[in-house]
Amino acid sequence: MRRRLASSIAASEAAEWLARLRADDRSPADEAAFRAWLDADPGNAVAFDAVNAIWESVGALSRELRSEVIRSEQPKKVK
Amino acid sequence: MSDTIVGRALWSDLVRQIAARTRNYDDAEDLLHTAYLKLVRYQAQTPVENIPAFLVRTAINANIDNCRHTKALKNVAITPQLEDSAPLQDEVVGARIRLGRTKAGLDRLPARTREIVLMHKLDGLKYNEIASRIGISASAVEKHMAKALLFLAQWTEGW
Repeated sequence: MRRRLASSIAASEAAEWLARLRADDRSPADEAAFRAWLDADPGNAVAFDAVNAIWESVGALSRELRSEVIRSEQPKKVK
Repeated sequence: MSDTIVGRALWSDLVRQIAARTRNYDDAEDLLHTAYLKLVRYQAQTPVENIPAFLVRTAINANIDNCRHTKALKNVAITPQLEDSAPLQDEVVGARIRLGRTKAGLDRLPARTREIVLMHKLDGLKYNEIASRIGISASAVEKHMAKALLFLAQWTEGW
């Protein structure tokens, strides 16, 4: 139970970190704080990798969606 | 004031280099983000000497992985319909199922949050560009992103 709670806190923080690091205005302090957070608990790195993996999956889905749009637009261009 | 690992000027330069090397202009910045996350994630354990070279190489490799992945999935529906298709490699089946679940997860997000995720990842818009388009602050965009990421991570937990 405690482990589950700890992992859900780590997941929530990992999601916030990924969102922060994709922001244009990330600062040196953000990067340093992120590394400190990673070092604070081995579970944090695990949580971050999990969030990053799902984010990559969103990327793959985006590419699929984009190629579907291109495919559906192509016949119009040919004519 | 000290700079971030990758300063603004270097960042733009790297996006151009990655676009030129991969000829993938749509995803160049996203590939750099992927490489940058790898860098900040691993730099603590392993010092990286030539950061620009590391980022370009990692981004190019990510693009190769993506292309391979997309090629394998080509002509394969996002929604798994395993019984209809010819036997596929486990890897492709796995990837297809993951995509289907990711899509299902995205569909369960609040409409605005989902829109923001797609504007960022699919259209490549920055937080402040999204913010001005939909009339909220960049920090609110970031909160939507974090909420979406947490939801998707929980949604896909235990795959």
